[in-house]
Amino acid sequence: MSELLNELKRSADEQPADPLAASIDLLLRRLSPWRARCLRLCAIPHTADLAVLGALIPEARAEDTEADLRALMSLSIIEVIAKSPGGSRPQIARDSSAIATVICVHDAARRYLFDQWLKAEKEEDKQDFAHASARLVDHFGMLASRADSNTAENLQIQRIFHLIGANQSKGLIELEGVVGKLRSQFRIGDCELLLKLAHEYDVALDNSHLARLAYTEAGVAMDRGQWDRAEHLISVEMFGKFDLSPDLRTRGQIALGLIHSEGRRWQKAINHYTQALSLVEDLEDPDEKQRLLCETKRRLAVAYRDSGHLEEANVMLHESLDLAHSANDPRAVALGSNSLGNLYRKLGETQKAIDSYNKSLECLAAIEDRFGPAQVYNNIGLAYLDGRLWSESVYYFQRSLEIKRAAGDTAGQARTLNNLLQVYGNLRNNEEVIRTANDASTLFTEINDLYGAAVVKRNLARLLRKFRHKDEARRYYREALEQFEQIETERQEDDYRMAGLVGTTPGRRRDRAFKVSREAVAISEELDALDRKLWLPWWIWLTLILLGGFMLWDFGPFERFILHILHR
Amino acid sequence: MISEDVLRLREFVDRDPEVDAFGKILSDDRKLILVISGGRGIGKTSLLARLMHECGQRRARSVGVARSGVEVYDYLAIMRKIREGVGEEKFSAFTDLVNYLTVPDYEPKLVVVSRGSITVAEGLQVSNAQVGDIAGVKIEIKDLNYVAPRNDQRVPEPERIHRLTKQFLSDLATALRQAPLIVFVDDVEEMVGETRKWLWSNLIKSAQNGHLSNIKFVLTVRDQPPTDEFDRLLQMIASKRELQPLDNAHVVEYLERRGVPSSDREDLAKHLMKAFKGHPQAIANFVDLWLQE
Repeated sequence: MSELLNELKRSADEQPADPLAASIDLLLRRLSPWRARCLRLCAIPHTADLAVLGALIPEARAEDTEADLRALMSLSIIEVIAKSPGGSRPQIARDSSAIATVICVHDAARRYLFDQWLKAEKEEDKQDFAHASARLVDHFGMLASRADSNTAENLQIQRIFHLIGANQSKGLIELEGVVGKLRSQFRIGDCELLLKLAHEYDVALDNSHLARLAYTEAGVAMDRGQWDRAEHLISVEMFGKFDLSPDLRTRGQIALGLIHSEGRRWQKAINHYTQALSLVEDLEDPDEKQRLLCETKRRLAVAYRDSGHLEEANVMLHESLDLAHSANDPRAVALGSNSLGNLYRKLGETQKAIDSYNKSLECLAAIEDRFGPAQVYNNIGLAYLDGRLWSESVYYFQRSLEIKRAAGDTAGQARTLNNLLQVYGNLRNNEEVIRTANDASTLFTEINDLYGAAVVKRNLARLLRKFRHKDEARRYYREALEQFEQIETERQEDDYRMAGLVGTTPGRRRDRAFKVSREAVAISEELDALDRKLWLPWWIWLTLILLGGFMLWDFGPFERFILHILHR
Repeated sequence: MISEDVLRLREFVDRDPEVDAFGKILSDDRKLILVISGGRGIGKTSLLARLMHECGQRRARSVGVARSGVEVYDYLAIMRKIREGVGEEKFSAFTDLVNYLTVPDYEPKLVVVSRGSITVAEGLQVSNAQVGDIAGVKIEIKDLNYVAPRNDQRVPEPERIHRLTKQFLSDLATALRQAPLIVFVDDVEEMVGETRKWLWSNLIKSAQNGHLSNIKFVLTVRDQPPTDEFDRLLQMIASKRELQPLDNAHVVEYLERRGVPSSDREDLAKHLMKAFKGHPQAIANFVDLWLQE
């Protein structure tokens, strides 16, 4: 006891910066070597039971493992999470999946001990950790193979966590694969959990792995609409590391292109995609090279198209499609054909647009994509709307709606209904216009997309104004305006409240705020103009005023023009 | 074997100001939230156990929400935990909706899907009634191991979150009319993604706006938001307490509760304070050794 007290006094004299760490170090020194080792090993998994302890220390006898578990449970640093009902003796069998007592090392202590493993300098400790991790990989893999599908998923997550510990490269590659699958299922929360777990290894990951993790995380951030964060992850976390593989450099540039496209910063997007194209040439794997080339050209084409460089877009899209065809990649052909259809619509070539969309549908059918056709049908509907072929337009919008309903995609349905509104408006079908608008507005409101709901009401108001139903138009204009004002008020309240609590960044919200207030201004003007006999948009009035002003300032050219006209 | 919570209570010392602050928010209608901050190992979780015990003493209904092992600590985990604490039968419509969104081919019983619109059937939202009992419809919980959305749909996550939240809040509002509830939320920083924002923008905001009445929250965080950012609105509805290390007197009391002989306590406490600056977890670790040896 006096030895322990002397140790405490020595600790006190050292004035440790981290009291918790100092106490854990002292605990490890004073426990028997075996128990200290058990404690350190228990900090590798997030929870442990007899079976896990058996996997961690396979050389121990079963009854000793039980005694070790009980000894650990007496420590304050250990939390007991679960216990078998009735306090029965825990099962000892090593391969038993029955949970008797489940413990975990207190979070703060676990982080400290886990980091010690990761920072170990002695080869013996590094080997110990790698072997323990490998055994846990086998253990959780075995449990996962016997479990039902939902439990198996959680066990697989634990398996991947330990695989990173056993073999960084393998573990991270597998993690990327799982994250990709989860993203396709819209399970963003699960992706974030996996990434959080991976980051526990940060102190031990080399730069190339950290960069890869940052890239994966950026993808998830984009799914969340956290564009600023995604940009930071790519520009700073990823490109800030050394030793980026050519593949990762290329993907990083593509991701930055995507981020800037989303923000409608076309020139920046084009620059990044162009850089990506030059980097693709350095890739060794020919299939990967072709795939990335195809994807980059398509994305670049879309950026050109949406920024008004239609010729460049046309060239780039055809190159992308050629690559997709030669790679025999129906998904890439489907995506490219759909984008080409959108380009042809912009060029006013309706039939070519429809042909491209139909090509896209063929490819989606070939890969049995159930939900992808919904957007393509919507686009065909828009093409027929452009071509003033109303009944064909209605038909395709309805087909799009059917798929979106089956998919449970409420926002998608609302957007298609908003498009249908235009068709019914052109058909002068007042009843359908109002019913469709109400349906769209209801759906947008149901999913709390007040902006979408307000836009629908505004569109309805415009159509009613066109029909000369002024009172009804006025009503919907007012509803739309109220809704835009409500959005602005709620946004301000939330921004103010959230700033300190969750560290939100205002960047994208400023863009959205600007869009909302611009809409509100436009609606106010249209509402005011309802009763005027001669209504023109504000920019026409401004042009006329400027022209008048110019004429007053320098009448000469205008006078000569008038005289010329009179003398003809 | 005694339970974890009983153990924590038996060894619990100090924190009277925090317990008082908790008492105050229970009795003050204007205060909805108590935010407890402090570094790792300072005793936040132990304090939550103490406060939940206090709820038991006052016969106040409470539910604790915390991260569990390697599970997603997200909005759905929080809602499920509250459902479990309040009573599953009070959340039939919510359960029906969760089942609808997760189980392929599931035919909803209370939730109506029509022309894309998803609503609870008319006439089932009656105050002071348990929705699941109306018309004798019992909803089996199929989402206890909810992991994946159903694979025959493609509902974007923001829409899932919004719909589930809306139905949950509606069911919770009905349940709260019968009895008040205190929700203890541990380790807010451990929540994934946008869950923290969800917690504030949906659950707490609903209480603040009066859509949920009879509810209070106690949250633990590692870092307290800076005062100037803890805006005026939040200051009106929230109290903050930052946990401090133990003082000498409380260390002595702790040693007593742990069974350290009285002859050793003062001297030991002095050295513990010098070495570990009153850090509760560090002191506990040392006392384990002391008692073993």
